[in-house]
Amino acid sequence: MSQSARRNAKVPGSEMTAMLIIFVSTNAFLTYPRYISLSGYEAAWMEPVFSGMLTLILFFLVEHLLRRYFKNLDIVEVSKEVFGRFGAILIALLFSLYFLCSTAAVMREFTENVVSTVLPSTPILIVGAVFMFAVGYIVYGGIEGICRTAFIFLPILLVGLVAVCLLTVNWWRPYMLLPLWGTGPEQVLRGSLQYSSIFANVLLLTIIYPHVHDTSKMRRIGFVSIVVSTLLLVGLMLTYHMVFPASETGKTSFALYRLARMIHLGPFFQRLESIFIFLWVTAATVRMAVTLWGCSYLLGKAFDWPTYRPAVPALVLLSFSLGMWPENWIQVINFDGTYLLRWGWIVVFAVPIAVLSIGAMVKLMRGGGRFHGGHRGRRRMQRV
Amino acid sequence: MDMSFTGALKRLLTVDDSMLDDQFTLADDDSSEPADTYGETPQPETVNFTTAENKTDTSKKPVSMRTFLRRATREYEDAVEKAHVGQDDGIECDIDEMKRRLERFFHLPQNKDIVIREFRVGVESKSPWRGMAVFVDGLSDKNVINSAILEPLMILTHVSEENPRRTLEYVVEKLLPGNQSQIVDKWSEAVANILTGSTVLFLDRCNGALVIETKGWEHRSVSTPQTENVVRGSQDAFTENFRANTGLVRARLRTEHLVTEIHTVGNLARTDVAIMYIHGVTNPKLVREVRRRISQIDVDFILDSGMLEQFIEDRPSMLIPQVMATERPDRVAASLAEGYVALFVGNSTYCLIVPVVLWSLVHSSEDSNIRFLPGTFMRLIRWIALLTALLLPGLYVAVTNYHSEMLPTDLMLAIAGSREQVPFPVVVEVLLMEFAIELIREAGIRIPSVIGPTIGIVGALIIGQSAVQAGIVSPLLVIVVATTALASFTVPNYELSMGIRIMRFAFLIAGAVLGFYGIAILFVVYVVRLTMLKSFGVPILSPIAPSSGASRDVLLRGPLWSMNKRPSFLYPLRSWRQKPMSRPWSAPTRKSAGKEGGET
Repeated sequence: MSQSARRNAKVPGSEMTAMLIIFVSTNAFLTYPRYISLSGYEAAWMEPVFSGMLTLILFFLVEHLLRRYFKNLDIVEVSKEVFGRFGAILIALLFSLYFLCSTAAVMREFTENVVSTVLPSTPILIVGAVFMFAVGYIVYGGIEGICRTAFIFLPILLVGLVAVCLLTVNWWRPYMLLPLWGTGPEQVLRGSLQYSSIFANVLLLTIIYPHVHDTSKMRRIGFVSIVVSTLLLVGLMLTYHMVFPASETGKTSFALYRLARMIHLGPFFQRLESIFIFLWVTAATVRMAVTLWGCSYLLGKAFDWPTYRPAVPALVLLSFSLGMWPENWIQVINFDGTYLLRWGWIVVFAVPIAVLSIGAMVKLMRGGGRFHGGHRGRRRMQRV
Repeated sequence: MDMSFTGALKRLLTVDDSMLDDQFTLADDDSSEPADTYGETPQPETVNFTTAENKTDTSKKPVSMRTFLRRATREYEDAVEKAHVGQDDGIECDIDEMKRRLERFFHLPQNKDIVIREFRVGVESKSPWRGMAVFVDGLSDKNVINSAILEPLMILTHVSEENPRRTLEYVVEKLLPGNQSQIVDKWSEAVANILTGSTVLFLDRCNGALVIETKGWEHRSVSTPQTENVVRGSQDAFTENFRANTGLVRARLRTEHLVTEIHTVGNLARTDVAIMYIHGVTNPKLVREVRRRISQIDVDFILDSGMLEQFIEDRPSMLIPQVMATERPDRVAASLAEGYVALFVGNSTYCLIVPVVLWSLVHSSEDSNIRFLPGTFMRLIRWIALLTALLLPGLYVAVTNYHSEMLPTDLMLAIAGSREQVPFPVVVEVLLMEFAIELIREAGIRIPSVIGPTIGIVGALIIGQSAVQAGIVSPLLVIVVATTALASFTVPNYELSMGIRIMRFAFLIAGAVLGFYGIAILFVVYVVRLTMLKSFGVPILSPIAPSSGASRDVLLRGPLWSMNKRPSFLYPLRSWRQKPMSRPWSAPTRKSAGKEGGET
């Protein structure tokens, strides 16, 4: 393998920011709006705000720990330092499983959305297979390819989401946002915590940290990505709840499509929902590529594979099979809501913070010094 | 009558399979004679080339790819070595030996292109001093040979020196008025110079030869560009003359730092390849990489820049070109000033610029010559045209097949009405029309100019009127296909335009099979592929992905006075190309610079 092939991929801050924004904002056309609408009713738009604030605080905390104690190390390498190889494998398997399930759930939800909206006569297997092929292809491009693609498609996402919000202006009924606190502050806060796992920035940070071109910009990357994605989600939820009454919003699993169908600006600009498929496809492929890349990368790191790429086809097939396992869409939505969304925060926030905190304490108890990835003989370079 | 009847009867009753006999075949090498055998003329020292050497022995069992490659490489190297045998030797003193060698090298007397003019230099001593001038008929300027070589040596010269080496130098310094002359001492150099149109002078008792520049073959003079026309800008283009082409660039870019390195490529026939760059601006690593790729090309013959391009680009299988071919000297000069490297190949009318980024393939040299707002507008039109050429047929099929609800009712009814008489599915209809357009395009290039206008009439009648009247295609589709064809002509780069022509069919199929979903998936996959593609180490989507601080000359055209830096993806040695405040006399500019702190 040539020297250039072994280099660790380095991604500029702007591309990393774009990837994180797309990763979080993609939830706008998955089941997230449905669950927070059920949880908060008229105050559903507040839940992304609280979740975003929580994520921001935890992001800065994790970034601080990484910068201070584990410079240029990812979560698997930190786990190896703290818990040994076996512990690192367990943690990597946990994250990989989460990513795999997330990929499978999003794949099924997304393909069901496509089949039920624009391709009703096409078999779901074909739609899903084409989609997974595209995702697998992007993952082959590595984190550099994924982030560059995200950067190119970010304007489509921004323009699309803002357009959906603004083009429904003739249906807005601001009074439908009242009562302001919806189901009550306590319920809203609980929902914010429960469904905060969509902000996977913290977990992703612990994986991509060594691949950021300039780690000193990590705080800025985190801040911008969390704020922008929060604003997009809030804007969408506000629009959604101004167009549909709160009691209706929890009944549909594809808020964006429902909003897009409502666009009617004269006889020419109407029923534009098909156009938004470009938005869904570009964003969903990037998001799933990130989770699948994370899954394969972590496995590669845990088991010391020289490269993760040979695992990609197997993982694509696995996530496709997992996604097609449930008999119907409702089962997928229930699984997503019950496990991934509701308890995902444990994997997304709690475990990484716990690992880093324990690692930092162990390091302090051992006598202070800092871990530096560059000096670790056990660390193997992997082509990403 | 009787004879013909008998003959016909005889033919009926006899088996005559002589029609199956080959009158001539190249395949069987058993009885072939050496290729250099010519009549009964005895040959001087020759190297025998036979086709038997290239015979592949199929009786052996299959070999591994590694063995096959090793064997093929060895065969090729042996053939090259055989063809060049003796060329690395030095030049002898004996002129008769020199002549024998020349006859062997150039396959005389069969080869009539090579002229050996023997003569005697005017000397005052009794012993004659023989010499010969060797040149290629048709490549060299005979007037120069007569007036600047033969006449001075034969008529005007009176030499009394005896030392051979000194005499040769003396000839250069005192006797030959040619403007370029050089002493060489290797046969390979002498042969190469003869083949490039120079005249090589051999003198008895001199272990060297004199190369005199006499190139002068017929070629087209500089004329207007064929594929890159502009309204505002220079109207000259490269021609089939290597040095005239380099001169056209140097005439524009008058700096002493402009370097032109000349290399040769080809084992059978050498082709000059010039690498042009600006010392102190272009990144030396880029120049080294260009040099490395060119020097490692191991091929018999390269005719044109289009062939060289395929040997040096990163991924030849991609539809997007990774080298920019241009016929405009002004574009080459501008690119060199940015920090790119230019390549001139033999007598090619196109120059190659490396590396290339996708965005620059949509730029035109006219963009810099017009003000930035019209320039931006034109670029915007080109981008829309590019997307139209790529996606419009696919989108049309997707909308009519899968997403008809998004059309306003009136328009949908109009489309349905126009398609009422058409018996084919939409995709077949589009493919038929696209095929017809491709035929017209291809025929338009090859059709003799005398009957050129016919193609327009035939095309218009067939596609525009008859097809619709016959109910083969719908009128709306004619508009779609015509718009697509127009849009594809708007793309300034020919290679990119070709790539889009082909990719359009992929998007058409994707749209027919999966509607917008298929188009979107294919688009994503292709963008991902592009993000991974590089041209000479530069990502082809630079400076957008990866994003790097660059002047506003990417998608749109920024004001010239604010584009202060060279493209950062080239890592030039001088990043600033002008002062941050390039219009210091202007009060608004000063104010703007004060606010922004220097635009980059």
